[in-house]
Amino acid sequence: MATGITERRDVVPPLARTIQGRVFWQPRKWTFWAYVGLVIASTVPWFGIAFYPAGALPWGVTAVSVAATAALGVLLVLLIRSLDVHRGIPAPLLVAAFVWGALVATGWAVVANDQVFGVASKVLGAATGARWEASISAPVVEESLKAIGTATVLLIGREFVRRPAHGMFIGAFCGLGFQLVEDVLYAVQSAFSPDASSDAAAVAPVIGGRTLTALDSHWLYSAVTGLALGYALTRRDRSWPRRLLVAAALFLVAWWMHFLSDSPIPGGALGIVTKTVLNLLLGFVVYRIAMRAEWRHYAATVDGEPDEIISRAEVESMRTHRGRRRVRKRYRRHGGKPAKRAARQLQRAQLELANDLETDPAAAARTRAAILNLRSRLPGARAD
Amino acid sequence: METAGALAAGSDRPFRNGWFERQTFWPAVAIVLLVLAVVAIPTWLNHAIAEPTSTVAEGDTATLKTDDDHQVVVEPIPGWERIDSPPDQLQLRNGKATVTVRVAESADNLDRYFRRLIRQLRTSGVQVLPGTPSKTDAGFSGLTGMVVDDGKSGDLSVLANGEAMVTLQSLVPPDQADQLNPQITTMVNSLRVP
Repeated sequence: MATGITERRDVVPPLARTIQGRVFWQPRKWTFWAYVGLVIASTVPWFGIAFYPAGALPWGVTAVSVAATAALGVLLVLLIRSLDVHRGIPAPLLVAAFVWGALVATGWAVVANDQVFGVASKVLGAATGARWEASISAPVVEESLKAIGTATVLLIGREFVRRPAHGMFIGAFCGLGFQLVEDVLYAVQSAFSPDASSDAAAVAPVIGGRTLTALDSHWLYSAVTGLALGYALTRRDRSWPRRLLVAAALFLVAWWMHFLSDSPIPGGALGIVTKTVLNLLLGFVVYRIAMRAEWRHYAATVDGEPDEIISRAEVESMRTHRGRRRVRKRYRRHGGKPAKRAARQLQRAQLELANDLETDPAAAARTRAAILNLRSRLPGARAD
Repeated sequence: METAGALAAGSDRPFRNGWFERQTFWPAVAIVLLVLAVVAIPTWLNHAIAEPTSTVAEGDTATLKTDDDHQVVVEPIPGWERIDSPPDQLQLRNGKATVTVRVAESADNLDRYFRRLIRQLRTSGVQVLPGTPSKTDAGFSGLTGMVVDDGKSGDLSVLANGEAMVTLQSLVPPDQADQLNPQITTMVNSLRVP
């Protein structure tokens, strides 16, 4: 038996891979050009942010900040991808969302935040304004800019966005782009602080603090916003008022999480821990609800398939990574590592099948053939 | 799928009338307008709302303090506008002239602080010439350099007295320098530790 990915490429030509180049490259859509135009226009705020500091940049700590943030980024990408249990979102859309978050949302947020800080200081008084400006401005300005970006990417890749959870993961990548660039910006800004004894002494607590609280940050809030947009866009079986109401409620949750995270109260280390735990709990609840709906959708999509393609027990096992691992272990006990590998390929094909059934019947037929082929190499007919 | 298929077919000439997907026009307009709105609305509000100010009266004093309770007392210049500021700062304005006094969080190394402050100001386009030693009547001593920004010039000082360290930055248009600089010097000399 051939092994691994090469074999899978032979037997399963998934639809998403064959047309991925055109997922994002949609020059016939005005929304695509709006995205391109706004990415180009983001050079204006970035020029303002970077022009003067560039000459005085402390290159050593900047390089360390970028490297540490990139490492954190890799870990968060792996985390987000593992949370996406049912996959199906073409990578170009995730990359496009990341780029918007990193360039467009951050660039214009710097400009708009400064203005909101000014308004907060004038309306609330300088002392109260300085204390609350971040928690007032960031949820409104930053969540809005990331939401616009997520919506833009969803509209560009409209044909590939079929479920609310797709919006959730596209939103998460938009937030992740924002989060990583903001981390580097904060680190570099702190390096310039005259209060610090050295650049490194200024940067270390910023990078350390941002890394420790990385789970309760932009990727999480934007995932909730993305779910809101995904729900409004894809749940056509629901009425418009209901879709808007659910989307508004989810957007409010994202706003609240961001507000709580930036709020000066409760303060201190215990306050930060409390806020982080609360936000993670809230995020977990939203995620569970979204993934339950994902699985129901998956189960309904493959419902008419014969047991040779996917059995009821296999559908149940596809619900979580743990369930899939359990099935692979079972195959490994009977047929060793080759059987485990084949089981993994079978599960990937069964996941792909649901996407194909929704998008391309011809691809679905090919995937069915691939499933039968893979199953013939497994000890025993099924996982149950 | 439609889009991919249509592109693959290549039936139309790119960028010709009817080549674009018409239904994507207004969403694209909305996207651009929304981004503009997120930036323009706060900018407009910030310009529309007046800065809360008060006029400094003869004999007024201001106590500036940090979260760590480093404190200094200063006598603001009578007749100047005092702009509402956080507790560690005093901001004054007279026409286009401005003075900012701020208590620093720590006072362990004045030279280093001054060097780092110059570098920070340069990141916002402010030019500062290196400092020379300076001293006030009430026992503050440190470094003062010349600062130039937006056609105005003035002093940048970092002065310490025991545990307390303050930064002062003045910017005065050339035509008001003779009149306002002596007033600023008087205020700097009024700095004291409570």
